[in-house]
Amino acid sequence: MIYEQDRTENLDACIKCSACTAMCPVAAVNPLFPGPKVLGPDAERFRLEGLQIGAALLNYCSKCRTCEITCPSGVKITEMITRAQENAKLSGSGKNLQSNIRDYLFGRAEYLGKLATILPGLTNTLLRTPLFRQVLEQALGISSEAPLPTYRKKFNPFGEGHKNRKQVVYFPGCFVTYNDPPTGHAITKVLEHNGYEVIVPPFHCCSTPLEGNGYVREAKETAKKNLALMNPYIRAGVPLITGCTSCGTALKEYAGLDVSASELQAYDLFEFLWALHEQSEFRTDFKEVQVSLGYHSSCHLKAQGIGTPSVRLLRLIPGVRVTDLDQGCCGLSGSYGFKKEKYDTAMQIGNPVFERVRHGVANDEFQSVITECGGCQVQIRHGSGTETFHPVWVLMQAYGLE
Amino acid sequence: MKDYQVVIVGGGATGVGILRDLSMRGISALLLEQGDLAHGTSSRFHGLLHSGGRYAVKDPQSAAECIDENLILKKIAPHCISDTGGWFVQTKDDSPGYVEEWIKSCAGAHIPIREVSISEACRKEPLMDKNVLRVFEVPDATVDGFRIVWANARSARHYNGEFRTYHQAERLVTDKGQVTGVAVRNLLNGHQFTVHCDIVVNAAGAWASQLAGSIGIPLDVICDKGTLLAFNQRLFHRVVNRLRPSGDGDIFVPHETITILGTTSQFVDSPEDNDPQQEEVRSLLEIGEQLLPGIMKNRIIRAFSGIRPLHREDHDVPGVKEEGRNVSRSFALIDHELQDGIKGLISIVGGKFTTYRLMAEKVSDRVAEKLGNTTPCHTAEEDLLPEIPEHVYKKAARLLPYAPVEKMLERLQEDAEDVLKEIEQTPHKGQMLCECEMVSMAEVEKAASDEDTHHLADIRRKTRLGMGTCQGAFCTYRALPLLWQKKEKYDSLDEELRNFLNQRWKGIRPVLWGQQLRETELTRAIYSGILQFTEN
Amino acid sequence: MWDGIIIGGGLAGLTAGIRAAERGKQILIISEGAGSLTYSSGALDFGDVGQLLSHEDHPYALLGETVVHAGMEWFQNLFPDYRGSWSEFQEILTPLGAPRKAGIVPRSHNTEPLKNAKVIILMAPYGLKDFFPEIIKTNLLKAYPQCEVEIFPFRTGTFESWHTIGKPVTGMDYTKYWQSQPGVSELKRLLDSLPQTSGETVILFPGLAAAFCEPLKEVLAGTPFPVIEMTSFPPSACGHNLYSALKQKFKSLGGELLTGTGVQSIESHNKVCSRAIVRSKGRPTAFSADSFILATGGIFGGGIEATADTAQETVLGLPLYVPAQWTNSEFLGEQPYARIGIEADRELRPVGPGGKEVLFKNLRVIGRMLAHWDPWTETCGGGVSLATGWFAGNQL
Repeated sequence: MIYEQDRTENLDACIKCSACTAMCPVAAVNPLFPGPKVLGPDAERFRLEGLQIGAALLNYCSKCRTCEITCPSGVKITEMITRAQENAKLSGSGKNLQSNIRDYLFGRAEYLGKLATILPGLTNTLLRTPLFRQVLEQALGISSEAPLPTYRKKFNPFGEGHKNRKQVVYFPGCFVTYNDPPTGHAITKVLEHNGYEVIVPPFHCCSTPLEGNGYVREAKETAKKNLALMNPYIRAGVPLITGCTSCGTALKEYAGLDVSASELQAYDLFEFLWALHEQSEFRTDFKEVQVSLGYHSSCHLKAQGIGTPSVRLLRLIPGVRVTDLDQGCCGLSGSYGFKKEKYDTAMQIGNPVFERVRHGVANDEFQSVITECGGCQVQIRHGSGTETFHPVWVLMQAYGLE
Repeated sequence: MKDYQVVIVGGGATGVGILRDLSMRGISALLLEQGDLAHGTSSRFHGLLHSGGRYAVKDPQSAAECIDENLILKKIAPHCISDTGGWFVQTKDDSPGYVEEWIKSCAGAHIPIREVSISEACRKEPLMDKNVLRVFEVPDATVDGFRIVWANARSARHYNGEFRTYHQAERLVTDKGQVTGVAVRNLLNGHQFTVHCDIVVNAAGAWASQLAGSIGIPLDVICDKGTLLAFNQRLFHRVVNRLRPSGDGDIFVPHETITILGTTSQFVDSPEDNDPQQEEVRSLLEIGEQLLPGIMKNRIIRAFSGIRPLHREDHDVPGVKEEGRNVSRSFALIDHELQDGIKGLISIVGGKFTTYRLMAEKVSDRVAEKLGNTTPCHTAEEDLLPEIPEHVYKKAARLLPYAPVEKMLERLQEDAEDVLKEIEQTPHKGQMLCECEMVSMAEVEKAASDEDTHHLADIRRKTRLGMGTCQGAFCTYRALPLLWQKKEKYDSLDEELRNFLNQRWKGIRPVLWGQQLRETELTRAIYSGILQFTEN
Repeated sequence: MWDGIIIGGGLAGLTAGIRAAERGKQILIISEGAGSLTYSSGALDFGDVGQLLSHEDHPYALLGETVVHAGMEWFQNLFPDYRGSWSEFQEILTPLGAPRKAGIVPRSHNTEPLKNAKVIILMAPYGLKDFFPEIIKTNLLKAYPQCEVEIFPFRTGTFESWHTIGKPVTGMDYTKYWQSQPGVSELKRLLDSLPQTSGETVILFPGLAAAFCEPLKEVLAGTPFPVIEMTSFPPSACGHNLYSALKQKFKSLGGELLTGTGVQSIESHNKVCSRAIVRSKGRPTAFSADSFILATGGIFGGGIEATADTAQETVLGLPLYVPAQWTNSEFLGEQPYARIGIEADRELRPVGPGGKEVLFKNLRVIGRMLAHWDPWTETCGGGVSLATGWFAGNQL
């Protein structure tokens, strides 16, 4: 009942100002997508009458949540669209078999990762083989031009093994686990450097890809499995840290499932470090690092409503200069930009980011780009040809841990 | 010299129902309406197609009429009706004795009811109070008053019936104790003329006593003002009534995209006295709270009032203060030849929307008898509207991939193909001019160019433009170029816009809080700030 | 941790943030949405400053003439792309092409060139939403009777696929295109293709929003005839560009902008505010500061919530001025509800009933949160936001 009342109030909050559509990166480049206002609050009033509105178009939403961040009324537009998408899926309208299989797979990044990292070398060779990519495009609708990430030997968290009184649970997420284990190790080292024992239970995917591909119910089930793994730590008051902003958004949304918001101490890595800093518990014995960086704030970081703690923190390091690119979505949005029919849209969405990066590099404003989100890193590297990495690496350098 | 056999005064449901009925019997008839069709009570009620359940105990005859007409209208006018079903809900404040009486009365009036378990009820209507005691399902439905009136008018036109809107019947014309015609004023251009006929049917609703009074005939019509609230969205999936003797604020009707909560009852002096008041809003919400807990948090987009014309036969009875609900909701057909010795005038007063067809049938029977016409009534058998062909649906769905095309086609009926053709040729006309109610530019353009359309408010009634969440904040501006193209038809744009905004404002003022107040700020920012209409 | 936290990132909040950051302060702005500049025309209205200064409770009167003027001058120096001053009105065009007065306006909006024009060429981008060239033409002919008005329809390849399926192209969409590299080149080609007439032709170009975009300004500067713009129906690119420019300015001065969520409460002790509690995802986050500024945008911005009975300030529950009667029947006339707001002292600190007691020593209230003014009947929305924002940022 409470849910139903929330839903009702949320729809009532829309005053039809159109700011969401004006700022929507997808609507701006894809003529088929009428925008979040139409498919969200506008259509919702008709859906309550039992009418299916724009079922076939819902999948163009990239779930970047720019609409929700822009909305002056706090309307959960992406949530509305996701729910409509799931209902459309249940009623079988608006999709074909190929995209169903593909979305099924992309929704399960975890299994893809497990499969791919059995023999990462082979996977990567295949993914760099144009013929194989053509096959993927034809058979599954996965764009042959998209920057599918490289797979590596799976992240093995049990290397360091420092025991300490202060503990954190680290949620690496699929990208670190299957594509970027070194960043996982870096995060572990930084936390250990600050006196924490880092615990990594055998987590499942955070559920963002499932939700992004319209599998809301399975997303919830996966979340509950993760919560079960976290439960002993939650009860012991151990904070939960992730370096991935999409995982972070998802983890924070676990609050209300089997755990209350106050119990679940989920943090973005830099949010956590900043909190330590505010309590004077963060080590600032930095070496000077002479570097100029462009900072890209991922959509899912914005959705967390915590500001940009990494920028704040890195600016404490002598020699580090950070420029906020302030250009909105990179376009990839998880698996969205990998899809055949969405690749162009995704590249167009990201274009202002790429242009800004190229301009910044050309004018010596900065040499490389940092962003917390693995997907954004892949896409910005692909779109701008500029080195892009997780901000934790700057800390690693400042701590002399590299 | 007679122009028509019959002149009907009043373009509400009853009037157009009579026009259709007479026309189908081959009787030549003209209908006069002082505003737009259905601008009065026929579009200012809760939109409930009664099952009769609400009258079962107090007025079994009305109840029986309702269930009969309910079934007939669902058959002949499915496109104007949404068969939502309805519930009667007993709360802890409602007498169990009344419930038993109600169950018996429903059986007597042949109203089918089914008891719904509380768990099923709570699942199906999650916003409804969980502490209700008993729930019964009845065949209530919702009806679009405006659409059904226009469907009758169009059907009548097909049978050569005529109607003129914005034509006011100023007074009856008599000759030797017999009504022989009506003196008419065209309100758009001020022209005055007289229409001659054998019989005048006075179906002017709340204005009926004024017309009869024009030749000194007393006709006691009580103006019973009913105020209703329109909520921003569908809060219930079906009609929800309180299972108790009818009172203020005890019925929720999901109507199109909104929910209507009604209805107050208060006698007023004049049919024009229809400004909703804050106190009425309060009283509705207080009672509504019992079925919908937390009702104050739900956004109300406007309040509106309609005038129920109730007939009190014995006009010498003192006690004008008696409550409107205790006066019969059944109708009265008054043959003034029998009652007042004046030939050629029949008045029809009282009644309710659900039984408009039956009222029209009774009046038409009497008229036909007087004219010696023996053709029987067919209005209960013949569909009001033709089926919308499958290919039109498909085309609409293709051209408008994110619009509720069913609703558009139901509104447009035979104009649908023209509008779709327009969109096909000029795709941008498929854009939603009214985004809240999803009305396309082409549809609004069609309504604006319609010969019966003279004001933005007429377009509103035809299309639902301005009736949604934003209450005209965006669409009023967007309608301007369409009015501008037909500028000889409309008042100056400024004035048209101001009037429309003021009409919307009248309904918003008594519910000005929460999100609707924010919406008002946005609307003022647009019209006062950006467009600077204040300076003129 | 912060020198100042500003709650609300609209015109007033950003003004305060920039002013404070200019003075070397570490500032965090927390903003629920993207402010309301996107729904504004992009021009700033001051109203009749002299007259409003004499209204006892008006924010102008609280600050006094010097401060009000200083705020406006500061803005003009900050953004040379805007012109105007408190001492003279600028004339610009509404989205329907009718002239109106304003305070500080984007340079390209000033209608000066129309006064002596003989021919106005009204550019009509195909499919531009909420743009009605025929009505505009009529209004222009009424306002500039010496002119001929020619409508010049054109379409660009970029939006052809939109036109084919009838997707609306908003002013924001067109603006984004004109500001891109191919857009700039096409605009240049388009303007070059116009008939080269004498100096008495003026081009009126909707959906351009050239302010703050160097390549566009360059193109316009190179034309043989003046190109002027008109304000647009919201969401407006012009208003949005101003928002972006303010945001960038603030960030470039080291300020941090937290958007997408609001402040649920402020902790305080002994009339001193200490921490803002932000409604962040999952669990609230606290931010500490020495000073606070409340710029939550009144009723529209969500800083004030009205119920059927009363109105409440949403962050601290500050007392509000609420008139007895809220409305009048003429919608676009005076509406008393518009004057609901917080009453403040000359330092813009909130005061209790009676106006004597200062409720919080380190909190200032600015912009639409202040009581006793109505941007719609007094047309002073921009002026009040600038003056109060500048003052608060200057004091912080």
